[in-house]
Amino acid sequence: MADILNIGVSALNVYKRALSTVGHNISNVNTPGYSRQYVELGANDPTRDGAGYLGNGVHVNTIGRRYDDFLASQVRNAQSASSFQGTLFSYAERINNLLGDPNTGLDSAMQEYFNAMQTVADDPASMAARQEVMSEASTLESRFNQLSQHYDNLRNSVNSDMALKISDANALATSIAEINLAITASQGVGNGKAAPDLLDQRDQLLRDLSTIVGISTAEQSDGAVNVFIGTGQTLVVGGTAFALSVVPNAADGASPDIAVSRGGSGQPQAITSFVTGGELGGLLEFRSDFLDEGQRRLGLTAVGLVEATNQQHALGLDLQGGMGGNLFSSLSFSGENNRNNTGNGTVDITFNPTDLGDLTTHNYQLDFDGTNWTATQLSDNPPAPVVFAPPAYSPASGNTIDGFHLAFTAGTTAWAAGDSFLLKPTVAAAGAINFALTDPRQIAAAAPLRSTEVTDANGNPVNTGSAAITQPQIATTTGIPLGVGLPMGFTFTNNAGGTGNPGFDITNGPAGPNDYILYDPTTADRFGKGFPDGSIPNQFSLFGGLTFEISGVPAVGDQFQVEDNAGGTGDNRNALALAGLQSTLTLSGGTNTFQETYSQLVSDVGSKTRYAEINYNAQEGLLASHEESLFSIAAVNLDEEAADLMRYQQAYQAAAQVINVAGTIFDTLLGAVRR
Amino acid sequence: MLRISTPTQFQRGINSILEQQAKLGYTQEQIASGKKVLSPADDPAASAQLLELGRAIETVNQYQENAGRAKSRLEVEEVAISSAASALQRVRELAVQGGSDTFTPAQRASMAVEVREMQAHILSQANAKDSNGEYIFSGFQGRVQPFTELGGVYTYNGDMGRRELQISADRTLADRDSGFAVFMDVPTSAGGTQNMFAMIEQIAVDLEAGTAPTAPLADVDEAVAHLAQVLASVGGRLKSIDEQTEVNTDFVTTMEISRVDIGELDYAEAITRFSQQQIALEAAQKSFAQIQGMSLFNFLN
Repeated sequence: MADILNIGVSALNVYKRALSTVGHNISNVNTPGYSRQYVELGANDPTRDGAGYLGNGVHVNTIGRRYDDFLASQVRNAQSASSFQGTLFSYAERINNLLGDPNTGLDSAMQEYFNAMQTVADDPASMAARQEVMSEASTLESRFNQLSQHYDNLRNSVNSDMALKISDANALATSIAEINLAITASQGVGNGKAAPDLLDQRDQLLRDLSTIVGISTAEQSDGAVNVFIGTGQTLVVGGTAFALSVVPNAADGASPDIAVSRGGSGQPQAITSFVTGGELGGLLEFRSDFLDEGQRRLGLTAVGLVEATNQQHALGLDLQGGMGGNLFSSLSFSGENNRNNTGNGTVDITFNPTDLGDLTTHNYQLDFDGTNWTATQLSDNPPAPVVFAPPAYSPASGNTIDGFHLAFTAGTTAWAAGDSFLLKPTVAAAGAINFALTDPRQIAAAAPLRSTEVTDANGNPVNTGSAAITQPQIATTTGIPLGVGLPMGFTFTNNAGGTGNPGFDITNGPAGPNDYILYDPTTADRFGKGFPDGSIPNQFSLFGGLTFEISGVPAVGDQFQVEDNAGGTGDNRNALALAGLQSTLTLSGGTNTFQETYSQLVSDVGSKTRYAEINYNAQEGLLASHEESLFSIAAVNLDEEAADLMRYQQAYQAAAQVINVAGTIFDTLLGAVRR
Repeated sequence: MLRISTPTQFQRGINSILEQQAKLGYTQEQIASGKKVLSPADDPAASAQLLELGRAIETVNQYQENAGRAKSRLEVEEVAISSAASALQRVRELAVQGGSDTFTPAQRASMAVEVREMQAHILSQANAKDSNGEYIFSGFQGRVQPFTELGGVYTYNGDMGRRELQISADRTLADRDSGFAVFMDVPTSAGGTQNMFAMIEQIAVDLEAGTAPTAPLADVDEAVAHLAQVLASVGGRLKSIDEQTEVNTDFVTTMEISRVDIGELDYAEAITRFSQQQIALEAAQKSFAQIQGMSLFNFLN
């Protein structure tokens, strides 16, 4: 009877615990990271009896945890990938929407500016048309500035987000280290079995950490897990967490680094390039792939527009007869001093309008070895580095590295071997663009020179031949204007330059042996011959690099002249040239207009955003499927628990009945003895 | 059999509702804006194309504006020159009459009065201004009066510039002619050149003196023919502008059609899609509610 009682009591205890476990499962159905627990029952050792073995009831072998390590680590990896793409996508969308919005995008502003310039070409003397250029150019300036400002704001937001995420990661790492200690302890007192709820908590912490950054884990025999990020940089070892931090990037102040402490007093080690996955990975990817690259492409558009426009504008004549000034403020940027430089010399970047096609969207690293400088393009496929000793690659030398010049200014200690600079020729250009004119009359719509045939004092023709001269063009401002009373004259003679060949002798122009151009109307020359014809190198280089064309049959003594375009308020030649820059293939090796360069940015951001979205959706799907696999093992199903509840309750009731029966038997026995 | 946990069941239901809501929201935004492509990421290639198309349309519209200005200026020039040509024709008639022996010196003097009037008329036409108040025959120097007269001597003060306006991507067209080319550089019957005003001046002076004009009638004919030729050139340019304007209009129309094709929403398709998505959302909501309502606990007591 005592056996029956013991058996019944053992069953009561066991099923009470089983019911508690079901209750625990039900109550944690919505607890993140909770793995359902189960009671593993075992029959008690039997007692030997003459007839064989007598059963002794039931006991709890273990309270187990439904779980799968492999699936859990897959979930973590999928989580890192998904939050990487999610972060990238949500930031990308902000740029995507900005560039796509016609109210904030650049394309319409550029179009309006060029249209306004056409309107000035239609009506060069009209103040209203000139005012339109003033206001459209100002709008264009502010569009560029605003877009650049948005990029700057996003960069700040990324950098501050990065700091927040790092402090979250540090908190998680600390908690993981603490829970590691608790698990090791619980394993010690639990016969090598750690408390399941502690394991769940740690798993959830690992999962949260994998949201922030991609991690790998290694479980130790004492139950602790070590956590690594990147390519094996240690974050948690047993009960110790190593703090992550944001440290300044020595070379690039705009892009701070992520570093991990190495314990003790050592300097934190920068691990930015190793960080992959998670929100941090997404932020880093966005910073380099969208922000840096996008802002540089925007800047390329800005540099091209500013420098090409200024160059053309300088070749024009304003409404008051002065040569054109800068339409936009000229651009120059300082090379960024590496924080570890020991010298204090500086280097500045300027541009050469004739080499705009060579400009790239890349940054450059400039290293000094004590004698020479080496400029290396920071790209995936950089060309051979440019090695030089100053003052080469300065504006005076005419050399450019991919379309930009360098100007070196020695400080008190000049430069030291090992000094380096980060050159960012384009990144800040969109923010620096500035419309420089203050008065509509300053718009140089006219060309500074015009050609005429020579007349008498009253404007009557004196030439007797049929020759005509086109309006001249200039390429530089050297020697322009020609000066009052100094029109360049061309007189037809059969002995140009005393050579015995027909042509025009030049007065007030190229001197000495160069003072003639050859023109033989008995040849194809009469259908139009362009000058200079190349027979005298650089013939007009001191006169603005003048070019013109003569056609027809001149009579001996016929004269043309090229003179300053005094009073030429109705001339629109330079406005046409300025407007024509819209369709000129100025950038990227002469393959792109300014607007095309901008469209490339828009479609590039569009495709990358789309790609991020597709990847994000795919990773979300993958995460959900891994999560479901894990959940199918680990998570609670309420119907199942309800069934268990019934099952254990019935067993409990039956066990109670066993005790009842034991009592009855005992009573029966007692009754028999009493009799 | 894959065991489905309660959180999974819940999450699946919620996810399908959220997904349908997102699709419906996107379609609704499309319908509200009338745009097929809402942001560059929706269709990067189409967005780039839309930018190109918009740019092409805006640029050609600007050419149309330029062409319109060139046209109105050339029309001003056409009026001025044809008016000057009529006056010159009258001068020719008077010169023919004045050369006839049947007229007395007094009659010739009165003819001279009319010649002077014609001369003044031609001068005023040669000094014509456009709607902006700029002289049309002074070359680049729109503010300089092209022709002045002092003591019977006529002087051209302009230059030989001709302003060109852009009327298509690769075509510019002069919106004026220099006064030198129209009135100063006029061919003579002898193969030289003469100043139209000086020629008329000579006729007037001769008639005022009561004598027959000494200028050869053929020179007057040359001048008449010269103005007719300038007029023809202006007319030719006006025709070119009309043709180019038509080409530009066709271009813009074609581009607009592409823009609509690429960028604008097909409402019929969108509304069909909207109702399909609405049905899908309702189905997701309904199935979620029903599945959540099913529990073994409902049967326990």
